Amino acid sequence: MKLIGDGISKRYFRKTKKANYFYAVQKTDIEIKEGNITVITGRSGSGKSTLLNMLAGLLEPTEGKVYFDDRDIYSMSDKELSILRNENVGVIPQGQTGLSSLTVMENVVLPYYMYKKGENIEKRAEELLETVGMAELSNAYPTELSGGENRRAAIARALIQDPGIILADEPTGDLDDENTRIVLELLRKTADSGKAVLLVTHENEAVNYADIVYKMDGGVLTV
Amino acid sequence: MTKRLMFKNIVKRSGRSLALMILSAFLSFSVFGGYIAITSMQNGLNSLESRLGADIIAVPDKAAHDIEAILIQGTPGYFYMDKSNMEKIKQIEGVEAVSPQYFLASLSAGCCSVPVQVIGFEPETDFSIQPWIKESYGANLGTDELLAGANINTDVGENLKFYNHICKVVGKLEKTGTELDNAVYTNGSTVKALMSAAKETGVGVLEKNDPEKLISSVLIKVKDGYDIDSISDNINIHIRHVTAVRTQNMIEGLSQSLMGISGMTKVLMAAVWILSLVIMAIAFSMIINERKREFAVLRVIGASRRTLAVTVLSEAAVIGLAGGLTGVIAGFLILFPFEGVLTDKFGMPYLAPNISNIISAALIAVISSVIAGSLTSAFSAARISRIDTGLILREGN
Amino acid sequence: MNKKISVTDIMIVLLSVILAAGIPFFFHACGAKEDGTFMNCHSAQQVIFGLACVMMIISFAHLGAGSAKMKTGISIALIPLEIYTALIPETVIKMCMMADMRCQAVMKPATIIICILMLIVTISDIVYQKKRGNINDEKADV
Repeated sequence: MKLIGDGISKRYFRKTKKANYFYAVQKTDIEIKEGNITVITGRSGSGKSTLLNMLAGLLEPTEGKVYFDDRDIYSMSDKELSILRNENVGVIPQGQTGLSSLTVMENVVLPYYMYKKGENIEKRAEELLETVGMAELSNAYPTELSGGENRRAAIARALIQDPGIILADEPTGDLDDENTRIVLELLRKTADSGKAVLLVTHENEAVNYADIVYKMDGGVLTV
Repeated sequence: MTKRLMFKNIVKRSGRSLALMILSAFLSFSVFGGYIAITSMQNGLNSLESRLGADIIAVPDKAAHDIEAILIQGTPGYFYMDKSNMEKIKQIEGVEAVSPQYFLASLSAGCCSVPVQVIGFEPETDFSIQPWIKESYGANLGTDELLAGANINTDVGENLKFYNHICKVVGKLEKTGTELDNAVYTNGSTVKALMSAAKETGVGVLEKNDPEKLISSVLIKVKDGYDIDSISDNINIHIRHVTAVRTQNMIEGLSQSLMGISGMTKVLMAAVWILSLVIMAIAFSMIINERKREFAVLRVIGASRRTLAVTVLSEAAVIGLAGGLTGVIAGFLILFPFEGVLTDKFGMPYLAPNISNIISAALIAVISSVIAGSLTSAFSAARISRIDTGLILREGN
Repeated sequence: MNKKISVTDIMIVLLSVILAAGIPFFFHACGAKEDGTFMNCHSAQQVIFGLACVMMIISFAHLGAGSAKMKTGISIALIPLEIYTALIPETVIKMCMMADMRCQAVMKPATIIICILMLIVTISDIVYQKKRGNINDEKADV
C-alpha cells in the first residue's frame, strides 16, 4: 500500500497582507512507502500538518491529487473516503484525542465498530494495549491519563483496523524522553511490519528512527 | 457503537443532559397539560349542558342566583314555591314538558360536617336526571333510597343520615365533572319525607308550609319551533313570583371563561415553547463548539460528515424523548390525582377526556418534544458536518 | 465506582423531607369545623406526618450508612413503611365525604404519589446496592 501526493498545494485567502492569499503548502510531490518511516521535520507553522491532513483525506488540496493505491481519494464521495480512511489509514492526531465519554478500551475499538458489528475485536484491542504498555489502563477514562498514556492509546486506536498507512502528527509532542522513545520505537516496529508510516514532527529525535527524512519550511518540502 | 457512544455521551455529561431534558420536559408537559386541561373543561361544559337537560328552569323570584349557585358553583342551597306554579307554566303555549325538582341542603351528613345538596325529582315526569341515572343504575328508586353523585365519598349500601332521617345509598352516578357530582338524588316522596324531617328540626322556610305543596324549581322543555326566549319572557311576565332562567345563559358565562382560560393557556404554552426552543438552540450550539475537537477526532477515525450530523441529531432526539416522557409522566402525576384542585382553581366543570384521547395527547406531547430536540440541534448538526478537521485539531492544543 | 452517596440516597432523603414538611404546610387535610373540632382526615394527617418523620430519620440514616449491606437493610425496612403510609388516607383512616374537599383533593393524592415514588426509588436503591456490593466483593477478592 502506498500513498502519493501528486503536485498538491494548499492556498489560503487572507485580507490584510499585500497578496490576498498565501500558500500553506507549496506544490509538493511526496510518496509514503510501505515498510518505511518517512519523517517530515520543520518548525510549527511550516505547513507540515496541512500536508499530513491533505494526505489523510481530511483537507482537500487547492491543486494536485492524492492517490491511495492509484485511486484519487478526493474524487470519492465523503462516505467512500470516510470508509477508506477508517479501514486503511490510521491517523494519530496532535494533542489529546481520546473521547472523554469513553474508556481507553472503548476508544481503541471505536474505529472498528464505526462500520462493522459483531466479531470480538476486544481481544485484538487488548493485545494492542499490551504492546503500547497500557493493558492495565483499559478501563480508565482519557481524563485520568497522562499525556504519554493518551498518545499511546491513540496509537493503539490508529492500529486497531490494521491499516496499511499510519499518519502521525507530532506523536511525541510534549512527551518526556522515556515516552518519546517508547512511541518512536512503536512506530518503528509498525513500519517494520510492512506499513507505510508518515511522521510529522518538529523534534529531531524522530530522525534517528527514519528511513526517509524531509524538511519543511515555509510550505516548501525539501530532502 | 455510535449508539453506545451517544448514550455514554449523554450519561457522562449528565448535568448538561439533565438540564436539556428538563427543558424538553417543560415542552411536553405544556402540550400535554394544556391539552388535557382545556379538553377536560370543554368536556365538563358539554357534560353540564347535557345534564341540565332542560331549556328553561323556573324558580321562585330571588332564587335566580341560588339556582346558578347550586348547579354551577356547587353551593348547597334550597328555596321553595307553590306547586301550583307548575300547572300555570304547563298552560303556556309552546311548553312541551315540565317536571318539578326539590332542593334541600343537609346540615351534616354522616361523619363529616359538610352540607350536601339533596335533589329530588318526580320519576313520572322527569326528563333531565333519569337519562343520566340510567347510565349507572337500572332500577327505580324506592322510598328512602338515594343515589350519590360521583364526588360523594360513600359506598353503595351505606346509610346516610339527613335531619335524623336515614337513607340508603343504592347507587353511585357516573361522573359528570360538574357540581351535580356533589349532590345526592332521591325521588319526590323521599325528598318530601326529608323536608318534613327538616321542618321538625326547624328549617325556617319550611316552618309555615306543608312540604306536600312545595316545589323548588320547574324544568321546562320547549316544543320544537317555539322560541325559547319568548317562552321564558312569557313566564316572567304572566306568572307572578316566578323567574324563568334559560339554561343556555347559565352555560354562556362558563363558556366565555373557558375561552379566556384557553386563550391564556395558549399564550403560556407559546411562551414556554419559544423560550425553551431558544435556550435549547443556544445550548446545543454551545455544546457543539465545546465538542468540536471530539467531532474532529471522530472524523479522523473515519466518521463521515453524515455520521457526525446523525450523532448530534440523535443525541438531541434521545434527550428530547427522555424529557418528553418525563414531562408526560409529570403531567399524569399532577393533572389526574390533583383534578380536584384544578377544578377548584379554575371554577369550571372539569371532566377528563377518555383514555384514548389521553394517550394520543401523551404521544403528541412526546413526539413534539423529540422534534423540538432535533430541530434545535439541526443547525448545530449542519455546522458540525462542515467541520474543518485539520484546523480544529491544531487549535485544540 | 465506590461512591458512598448515590442518586437514590439523595432521592430518598428528598422525598421523605418533601412528605414530612409538606403534609403540615402544603398538603394538609381539611381545616377545623365551625365548632372548632376536627374531622377524621385531621387524624389521618397527623399519622402520615408521624410516619413521614420516621421515614425521614431513616432516610438520613441511609444517607450516612457506609456499606452496601447496611444501606440495603435500611431500604428494606423502608418499604413496609412506605406502603403503609400510602394506605393511610381512605384505606386505613376514612376521610371526608366530598371528593372536592381538601383531604381528598390534595392530601390523599400527594401522600400516595410521594409514597409510590419513594417505593420506586427504594427498590432501585436495593438493586443498585446489590450491584455495588458485588463490585466491592470482587475488589476484596483481588
